[in-house]
Amino acid sequence: MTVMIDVQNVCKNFVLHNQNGTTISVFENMSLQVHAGECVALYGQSGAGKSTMLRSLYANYKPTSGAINIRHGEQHIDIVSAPPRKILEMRKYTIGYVSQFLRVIPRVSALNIVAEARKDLTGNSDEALKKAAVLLERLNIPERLWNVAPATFSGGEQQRVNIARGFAVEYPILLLDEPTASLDAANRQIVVELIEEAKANGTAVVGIFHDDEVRNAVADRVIDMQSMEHAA
Amino acid sequence: MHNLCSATQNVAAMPKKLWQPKVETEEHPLLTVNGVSKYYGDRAGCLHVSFDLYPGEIVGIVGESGSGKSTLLNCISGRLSPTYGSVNYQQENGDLCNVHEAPEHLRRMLMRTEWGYVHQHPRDGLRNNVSAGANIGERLMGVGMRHYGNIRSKATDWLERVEISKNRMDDLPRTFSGGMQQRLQIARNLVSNPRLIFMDEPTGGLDVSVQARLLDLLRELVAEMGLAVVIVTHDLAVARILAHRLMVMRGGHVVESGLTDQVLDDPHHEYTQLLVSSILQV
Repeated sequence: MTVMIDVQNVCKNFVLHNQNGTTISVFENMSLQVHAGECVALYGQSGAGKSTMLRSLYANYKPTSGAINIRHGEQHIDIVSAPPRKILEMRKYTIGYVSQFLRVIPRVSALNIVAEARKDLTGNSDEALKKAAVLLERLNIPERLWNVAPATFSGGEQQRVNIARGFAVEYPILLLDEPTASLDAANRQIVVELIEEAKANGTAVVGIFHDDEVRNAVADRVIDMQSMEHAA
Repeated sequence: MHNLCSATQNVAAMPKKLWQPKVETEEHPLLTVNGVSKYYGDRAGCLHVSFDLYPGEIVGIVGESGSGKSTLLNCISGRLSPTYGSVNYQQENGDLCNVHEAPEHLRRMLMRTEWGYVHQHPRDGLRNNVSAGANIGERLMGVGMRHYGNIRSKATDWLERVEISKNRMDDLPRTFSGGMQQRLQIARNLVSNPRLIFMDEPTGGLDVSVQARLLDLLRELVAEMGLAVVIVTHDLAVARILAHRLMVMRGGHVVESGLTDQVLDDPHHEYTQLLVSSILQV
């Protein structure tokens, strides 16, 4: 199987300069490989470094040392040391990320938010909007809300818009930060199906799932971040 | 002569399989800033700043007042001569132009064709004693367009694109609101299809709702036209929305730089941490 993500000896410290230079060590010498078509769940208590790991994979956080090699097209590129332009290219084609909370530009409609990444990628606006509509419908967002900016949506609705956005492009790598946190059982099931479909499509998925049921349903492997910390 | 008619860029052929990244040929930087320092007497405005700007890339320069942001912007855009260092610009025809050593006529030509400069105060960037239409038409005439009807219709287009009603075409800019003036200034700069825009606090003096609308507009236009932008702002929210990457300045030095969301969400430098933690939550 193709290795999509290869994390090698990654350490992450936060140095809080304005709070007496406190150093918080989140994890040390963490290594991890994720293959195409596989789902890896990061597991551990709050503060164990799950989100930090996930954000590092997206280059939103910059690890203190180590390398994270990402398969981008035919190449393997270390996202830790890649220049910003390269990272943006990797995010455009290769890595999708569903954050815990929807963070969007004010006054852009739900439909456009979902379609945007696909539109950027293909240049085909109509097709991207159609794909966005299919996803929103599947995730039970009522059609009357599609042209409304999601700032006023309920937590669950915002989260579903966020999920739709992450799945609008068939990324080879998908990172999910508690995608089902504020969803009811029916919508959770739909997210599970979406993840299964992505895996079948060859996507490498790394996720944080607080819900045992969802984790058991989708994860092929569980990485315990706590034990990582102790092992270090 | 700069060709005004080559307006619409061809959309690059899309990759067949969605997730196969297209092999991007190694592009040349549009702008190469090399060790730029500017001294005012023995006081430094900005020190040892180097970076490359690629086509379509948006770089935000953030920092507090007096950190050297505007000095740097003025040095890069050829409005100030740096004490040390050089700025090279790759022209549309492929020639490399050393911005500060180029002959005056070439620099002026670039400034009104391939470059644009959006000032914080629209009155600094507009001609206040001629109509809105004439403000937009000026660059067109500057590159040799003479047909009045064509200039007027192009000005009409651009007024509409920046959401100004076309029956305000013959009004003076001072009869416009602050937000409209700023949009007019943007239209005036973009009419010549520039490749590189410098912006100094473009949303600075505007109230929040007008600012949001202007940001929407800028985002759309910049993406649509594939513009490279250097934007100076002290507003980190503006930087997050517009910029691909950030340079954080303090005391004339660039203390931290990188991908926008990385710099804002995982700031490493002491000063960046202070800056980010000082944002008021609404």
